[in-house]
Amino acid sequence: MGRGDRIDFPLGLFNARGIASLAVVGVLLGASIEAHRLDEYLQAARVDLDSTRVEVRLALTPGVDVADAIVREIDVDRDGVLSQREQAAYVTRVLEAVHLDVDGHTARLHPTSSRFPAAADLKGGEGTITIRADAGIPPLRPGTHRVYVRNAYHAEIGAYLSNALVPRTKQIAVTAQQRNANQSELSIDYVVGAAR
Amino acid sequence: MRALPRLMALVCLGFCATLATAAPAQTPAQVAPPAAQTDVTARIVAAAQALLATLNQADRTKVQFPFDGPQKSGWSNFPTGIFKRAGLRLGDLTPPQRTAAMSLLSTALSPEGYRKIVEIMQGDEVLRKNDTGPGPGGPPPGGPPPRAPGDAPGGPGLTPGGPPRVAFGEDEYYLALIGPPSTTAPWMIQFGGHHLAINLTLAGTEATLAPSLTGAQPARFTIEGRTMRPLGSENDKAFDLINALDEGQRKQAILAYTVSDLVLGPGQDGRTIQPEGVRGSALTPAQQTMLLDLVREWAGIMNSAFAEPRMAEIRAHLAETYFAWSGQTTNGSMAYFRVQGPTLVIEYAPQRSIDHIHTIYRDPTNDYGKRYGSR
Repeated sequence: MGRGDRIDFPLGLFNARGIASLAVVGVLLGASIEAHRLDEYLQAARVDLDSTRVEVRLALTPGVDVADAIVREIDVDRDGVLSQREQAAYVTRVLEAVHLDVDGHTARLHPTSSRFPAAADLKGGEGTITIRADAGIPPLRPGTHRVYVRNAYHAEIGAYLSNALVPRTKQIAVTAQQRNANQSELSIDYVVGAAR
Repeated sequence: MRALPRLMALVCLGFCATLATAAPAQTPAQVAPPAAQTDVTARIVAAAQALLATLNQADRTKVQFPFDGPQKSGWSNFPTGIFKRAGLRLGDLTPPQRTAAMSLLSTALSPEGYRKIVEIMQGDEVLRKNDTGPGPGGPPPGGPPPRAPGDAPGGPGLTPGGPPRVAFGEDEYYLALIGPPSTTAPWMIQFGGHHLAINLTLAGTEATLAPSLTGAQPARFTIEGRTMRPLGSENDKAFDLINALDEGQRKQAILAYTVSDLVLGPGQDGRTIQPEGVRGSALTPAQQTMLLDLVREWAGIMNSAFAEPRMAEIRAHLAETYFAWSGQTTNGSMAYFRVQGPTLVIEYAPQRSIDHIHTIYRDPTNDYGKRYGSR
């Protein structure tokens, strides 16, 4: 296979043909960097808590072996440019796979900002897509509360990191974090203090 | 095989330069007086100026960046071909220039820190020599292609529009000076390549190494019968500490989930995650000493004139510093750990193998010397 050959992956799917193609790319990159996270989609979620809103910040970094397929998933018109419309559609698709609830009640996430690197940087495996989304919630009463986040986006290739950020206000204190084994699910217990 | 003599020469260069430049400040467990720090800064500035004196105008332009520009965060753990670095590429330097560059590093770092970065580079050289892949990951028969005039920073391996041509080895490390070398105003030495990003900000009597990244692949290798483990002490000291904890402490320290990568690695500047694990206040004095000894593997990379005040700062916050662990506790198995305090974040993350390690060192209050202000 020549260096300029392209590998076509089905949109949004990683079937047997796609996996086989990924393996070929992995071989081309040389055995020495196989152990890098090249064939996974690293998805870091950071949760910022406030008494009236919850913000989820996603940092999505496709490994170089899967990046071409991810770019094709975003660049639906195949013009090599990730247009604003394509970016917005991708953000919507990602957020549809992210479930948030606060004290057992589903909270809908709305995108507030996003940043996409150039398609070439993504394909090179060094590009990170950042998405910020928040959910407004009724003002929380003083006491204990729980936020639950589940990220099911591209679970077949996902490698997850999930963390609560240190709250910016001292009226909120995180008391515990629980995750499932691969960190695609995160529960955060926190205490809201009385307003001063 | 010339690898070991070359390595020994580099280590000796560091050791000798350190003796010549900073001997009074290199005694562990002593906080150097400000006069010693001023003296060390002056010697580092002199070493930087000596390097600049070996360069022509084009290379001086290539190595120098404005202090308040974007170059500070232009670092990565990735090799050339996946990440494009700016600055002077070691492989492009003449022997005297390369000696001057390494002399600058040996003056700025402790002997242990200098040895660590040399061994990380040496490991990448082993990776290059063992890389027999037929594609872009491996060198072609007869060695790598020559660097063409006008090649973009990042070396000869970049192929716009095509798959990345990954390049490994000691030549693929880059040096940048961010801000003019000064004995009083903030400036920065940035040195990095695959598995290495040293970001040392100096400001007169103060300095910080945060954020910096070390890594290793292979994590253990042999050169002429001598076994090298660039990050072996970090690994061993961490396993010693987790095994020194009692059952109750371990229950707090060990996380019930897998941490597959650095949480606060490259590109994650300015974020503070909620700490987890066992608090320093819950450790015995002996365990606290072990934790500090572990932290010193990172904080002690820079010259001890600056490392000792930094260790004193970390010690002052020890009660609020957490130690977290994910993975098995038998040395030789794969485990992630994190040390996090008010002014400190350290992560150690094996990459699916104990033979491939990434680590990060940060100070959320002083990454890139933000306490020192701008120029």
